[in-house]
Amino acid sequence: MIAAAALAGVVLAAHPLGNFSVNHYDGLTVRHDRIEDVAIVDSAEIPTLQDPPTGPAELHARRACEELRGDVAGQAEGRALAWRVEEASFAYRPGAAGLRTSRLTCRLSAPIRVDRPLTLTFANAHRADAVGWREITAIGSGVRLRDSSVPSRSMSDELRDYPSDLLSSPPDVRQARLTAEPGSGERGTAAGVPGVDVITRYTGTLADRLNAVIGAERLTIPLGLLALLLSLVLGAVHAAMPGHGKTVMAAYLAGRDGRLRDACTVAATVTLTHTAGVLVLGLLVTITASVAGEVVLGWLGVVSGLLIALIGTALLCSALRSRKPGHGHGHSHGHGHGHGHGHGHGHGHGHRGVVALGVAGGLVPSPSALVVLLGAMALGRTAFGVMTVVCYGLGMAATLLAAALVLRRFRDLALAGRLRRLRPYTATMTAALVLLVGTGITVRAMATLI
Amino acid sequence: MTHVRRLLPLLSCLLLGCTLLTLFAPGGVLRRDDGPPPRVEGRPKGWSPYELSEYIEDAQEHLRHHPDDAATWASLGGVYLEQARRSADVTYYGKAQGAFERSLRLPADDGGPNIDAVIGMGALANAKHDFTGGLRWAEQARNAAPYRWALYGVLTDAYLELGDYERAQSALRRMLQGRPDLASFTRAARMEHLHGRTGPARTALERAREIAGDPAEYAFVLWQLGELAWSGGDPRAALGFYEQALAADRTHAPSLAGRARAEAALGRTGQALRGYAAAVARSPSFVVEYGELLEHLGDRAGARRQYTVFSGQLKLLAANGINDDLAYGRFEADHGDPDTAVRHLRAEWARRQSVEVADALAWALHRAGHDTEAAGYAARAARLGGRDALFAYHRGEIERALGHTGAARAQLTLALSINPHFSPDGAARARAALARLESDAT
Repeated sequence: MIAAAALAGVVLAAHPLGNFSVNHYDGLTVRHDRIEDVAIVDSAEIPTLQDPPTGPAELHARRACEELRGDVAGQAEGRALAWRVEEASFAYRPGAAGLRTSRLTCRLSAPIRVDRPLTLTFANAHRADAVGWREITAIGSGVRLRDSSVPSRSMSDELRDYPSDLLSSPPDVRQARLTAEPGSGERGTAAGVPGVDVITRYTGTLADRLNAVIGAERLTIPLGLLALLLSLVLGAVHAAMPGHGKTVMAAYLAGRDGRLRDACTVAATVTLTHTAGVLVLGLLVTITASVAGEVVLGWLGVVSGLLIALIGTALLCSALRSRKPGHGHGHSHGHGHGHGHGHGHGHGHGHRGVVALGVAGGLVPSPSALVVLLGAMALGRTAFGVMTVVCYGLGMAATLLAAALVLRRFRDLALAGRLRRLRPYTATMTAALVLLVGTGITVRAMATLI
Repeated sequence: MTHVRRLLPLLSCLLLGCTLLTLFAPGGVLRRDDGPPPRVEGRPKGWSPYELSEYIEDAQEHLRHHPDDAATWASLGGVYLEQARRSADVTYYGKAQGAFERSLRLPADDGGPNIDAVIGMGALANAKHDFTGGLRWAEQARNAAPYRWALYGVLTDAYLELGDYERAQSALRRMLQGRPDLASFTRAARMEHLHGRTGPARTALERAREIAGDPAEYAFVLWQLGELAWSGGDPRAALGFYEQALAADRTHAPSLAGRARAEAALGRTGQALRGYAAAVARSPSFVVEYGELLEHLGDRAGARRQYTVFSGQLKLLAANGINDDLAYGRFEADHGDPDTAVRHLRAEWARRQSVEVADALAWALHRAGHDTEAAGYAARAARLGGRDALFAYHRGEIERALGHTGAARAQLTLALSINPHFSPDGAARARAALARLESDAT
């Protein structure tokens, strides 16, 4: 017995995951009337020897899948799912040292009805004590999945190719939890598109409605108008969200005395840049699978942050210079002063700053707009998708305009009171704020890249 | 005062800026460069299995950003090794080796190789039964850093397996003086047991039990206590220890097998078989033992299946360039061809002269009919004065074959008095042989 115990220490990995591992994969596909599970059990050399199939392979596969079915548990809204074995197959594969490994594939399915958001849980307790890789994925087909605890793609190519670098551990995922909702769109919508984050979750319902409209069987004119309206609202909401440096523009406009013309320039620039950005990124993502959307978004974020920070620095310089003694109340025309050009008004420089700010604000495509565009393209309604994206940008511009106007009113009111004392510093404060937000955005975007 | 008033807006700007920065730079950014994760020296202590995997994740993340951190590579290797030991998942041996080698390629602060990686390579070599290699690495570490206590554990293990008990003793003494901890106490217990001093062995394990830091360590110590009780012929006490070990860590495969063995001794055959099935599913190390019980119970087909698994296991090892001649020889002597067993065990004896190899070679020689030579090796197996029922039984059978009735009777009686349940088949045969000797005498 000592010899046997000692043997354990000597075994080296012949199977990529150790030659007595039993590896499990469950690929869940949620459809509107059923949930399917492709359950694969990849047994290494030793377990294959330990449990040799009895009888013909088909019979053995049936029996093994029935056993596996007993160990798989699923619930929809707390009610247990009734799994059925649809298909079973068993095959040997050549392993190390002239031995064999085996692969059992079971297709299970259980009826559900996704006619409202449905919380699904899944657990696989088959051979729970055995050492091995355990992986679960989930996608939706004809339904949308959200808040899924598992990814949509297998990282081992369904137990065919195990990643084995030094800095990864075999996954041990035995349970999954997700919500399935009625709605069309491509498979695994939420998981497939880069950069879907908190913001989309906030505006999730709206975006879902929009997706539902775009994906409708027949696109009538009222429906189309509704979709455009929805994207307008979505864009407006998106611009009101924190981040992406859009809010800072309002502050900037307020600092610049809030000229309506400047505000309009910003709005137009934002709309143009954003639309162009979304279109280009959408095109890239569709054409080449190799473009990692996350990375592109990250770099755009860095560029946009740097641009804002640069503008902030320029503003700060000019503001500080204009705050020399005797110039204390020179705020209203202090901007261009002493900025190389030396023109009394400095309008040329200011105008370029406004455009740059607009570009910075629109540079990072919003994920939800991207989702809408990709959804429309997948359905062959590309032109309509582009229209919605344009509306989206217009919505963003509207929010910015409104914010600028409100701030302007607010500033007039505030300055009338005690805050009048701060008046000489507003330019400095605005500039500092712009600079800080720019830095913040850059740092955050960098963080996603590292 | 005006000064303050003038500074106020700037201060508020600063404050606002700080707030914004905190908001815009979420925890992840700041946490990422917090410096290296806590180091683990040699064998990590006081980690629960959960913390172990948590540590692994932290170290992996750290190394992704700092791939040149030799110390963290070494400690990650150490934790991979520990993970392999705990989970019996051999994937981690390859990972451990890779991590140690990465660490060795990077120069340490003093220009030499990273000492923890050197010690780790030694521990890995021992785990892979390359005890000469283990010894080499440990000596290299001792020359460079004689106060790194973990190296004496590697040194002790290597000497013990190579059969150099004097040097093992002095390395162990060094370790106990330097750092009396779980690693040194469990090794001390093994040393005492090899010399037949059951009482001190138990004391050492009881001390280890007091300082066991987490469920996995506790299970390991309790399992050792169970093995001690079992080899002393007390299956009931052993069962108690195994149960406690499994209460701490229900996946501890050696304890699963131990419990099954004790249950078989107590006559609970059904539970024993179920227990063995669970143990071999968790780790294939116990297939021969399981097969022997099945064979004893008359299930020859079931036994054969387990033996097939054992052969498959050996083939896999051979494919990896490792030949575990001790295990192979023992198996062949009992269930295969004794001549093959002798050949393999002679080769093993040329490499290492431990009491285990001596006993196995003696038994194989006896099975192959070379009893005179066998007696010499059986005496060598008993040279430390250890109390091992199986060794005594083997020696008794050899003496009996040589016609030394008195010595045979003494050895067989000794075997049964040490542990009347030492093996399902062996104990029965010992009793039968003893009865025949008695009847011959009268």
